[in-house]
Amino acid sequence: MTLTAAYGLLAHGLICGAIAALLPLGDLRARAALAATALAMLVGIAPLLHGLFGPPSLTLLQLAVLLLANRTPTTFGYRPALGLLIVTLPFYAMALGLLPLDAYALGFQPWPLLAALLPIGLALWWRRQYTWLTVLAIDILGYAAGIFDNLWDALVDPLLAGLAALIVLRWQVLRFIASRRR
Amino acid sequence: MPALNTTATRFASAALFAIALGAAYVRTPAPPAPGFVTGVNAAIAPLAAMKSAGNLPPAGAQASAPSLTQLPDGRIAVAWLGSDAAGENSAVWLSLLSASGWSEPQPIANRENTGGATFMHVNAVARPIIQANGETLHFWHEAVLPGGGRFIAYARSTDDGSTWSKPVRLAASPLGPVGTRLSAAPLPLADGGFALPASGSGGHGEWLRLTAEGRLVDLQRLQAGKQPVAAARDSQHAVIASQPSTSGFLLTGRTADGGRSWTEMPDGPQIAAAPLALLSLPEGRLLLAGNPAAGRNVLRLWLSADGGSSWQACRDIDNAPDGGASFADPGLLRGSDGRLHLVYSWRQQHIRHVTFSEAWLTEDCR
Repeated sequence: MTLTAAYGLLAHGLICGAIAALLPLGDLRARAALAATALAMLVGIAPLLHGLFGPPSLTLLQLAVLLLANRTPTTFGYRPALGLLIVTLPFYAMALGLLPLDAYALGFQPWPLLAALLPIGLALWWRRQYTWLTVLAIDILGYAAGIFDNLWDALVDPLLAGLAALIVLRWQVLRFIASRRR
Repeated sequence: MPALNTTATRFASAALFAIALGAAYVRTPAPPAPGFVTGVNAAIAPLAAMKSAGNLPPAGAQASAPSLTQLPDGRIAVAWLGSDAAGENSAVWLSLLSASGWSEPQPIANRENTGGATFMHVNAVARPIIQANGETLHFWHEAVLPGGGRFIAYARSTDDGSTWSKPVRLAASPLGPVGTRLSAAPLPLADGGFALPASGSGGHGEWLRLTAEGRLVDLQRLQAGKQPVAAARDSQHAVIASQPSTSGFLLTGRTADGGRSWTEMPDGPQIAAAPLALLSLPEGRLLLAGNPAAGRNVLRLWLSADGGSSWQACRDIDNAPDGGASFADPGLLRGSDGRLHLVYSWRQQHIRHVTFSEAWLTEDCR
């Protein structure tokens, strides 16, 4: 068992728990989340997700943990989701070979990426986004601890990008419906 | 977002961010400039023309994707994919060639041990690649996931393949299983690491740089097409060849700086879209094995005397009149005694091993 393999399994278990916590179960919400986490790891859902998507990013894991700790729904709102989508869309297009460059390669010896994260961290601190700054710091610590060989894998993953796309799409649809009602 | 704006939170988050940046800076690898280890020993006396062939011991009804390397004691190791008649229950098998012949094949990877070690649901294993470097035998293979996606798993052995480390997933793509696939044997690097040619998800080639411990430290996109194979000519020069995209002609490229940049070369011979093998020979020659445009029912060897700019067809190793025949997945090796070894999948039923000398190879070049 390696650190990365254990991380991936546990993280997918917690993400399953966080999804269960979204259900409108009232007082049973915490128990449902705990049961979903345990079940996901015991009946093979977490290994299946781990195989299908690889280890999730620490950003997604932290969002799941924040959700389980009742720090939602505002943690991952429209603006952060849109920002993430703006970064991840070209990133994954490059990975698919649709663009000539490959930003993913920068994550193996990520000095330029770390240099780029410094002003982002400062901006988050300046705007008092301390939760997001902590999320970013833990992402980087995950890379430093050796859970990930590529810093990008600690920051983003396809599931997180998909979640961001859903949030942005939902916001746009609600806005469109509201404009039609006026 | 909840307002965590107490003074303690404010400074704690800033301090944590600063510590994280510092730790990441310390952890970031700084590999030395790449240099190839060619392994081409020109001092070996030329051998007389010779050729012998035989099958490896069977392990399952189907056999494909062989990979070969030479251990420090001179034995030839071959790993291949074996499965039952339905193509299921796949496993990677290893057999060693010593003076007494091929050893009984031993399974070195299957879906259970790969899935168990990586905590992933794995449906099957595929495409093994082995490479000896010093006392360590390195082993990569693909793990096939539900839905057909794959990831690269890596393990190593320090006792000539008797026992193996737990396989670990090699994160070579941000797209998880829709990512990088193995292509050909790696080129050993002077720092103990490897340069591993691979196929990217967009149909392009990729050049992965690994440390001696198998950790991925760099990745480069190649202009060459899918399933590239590479051969080093000296510490800085190497040639890469890959499957054609639409033209049907072999795509080649060369590097003069250890693989940091590549330039395209003239198209090679017309070939079928099948895996290739490439090997450096003394005096700067290159040996290519693959299927010509006629199809997989012919396995041909080509020689290049000018570093891959032009190619001469030399020998047909196997040639069957029935179009359904398949002689595919070649692997090439030059042994420490100067003999050349070729392994390939024979009609997906056996792994065939052919040994020959350069004199035999060149006596019929046309």
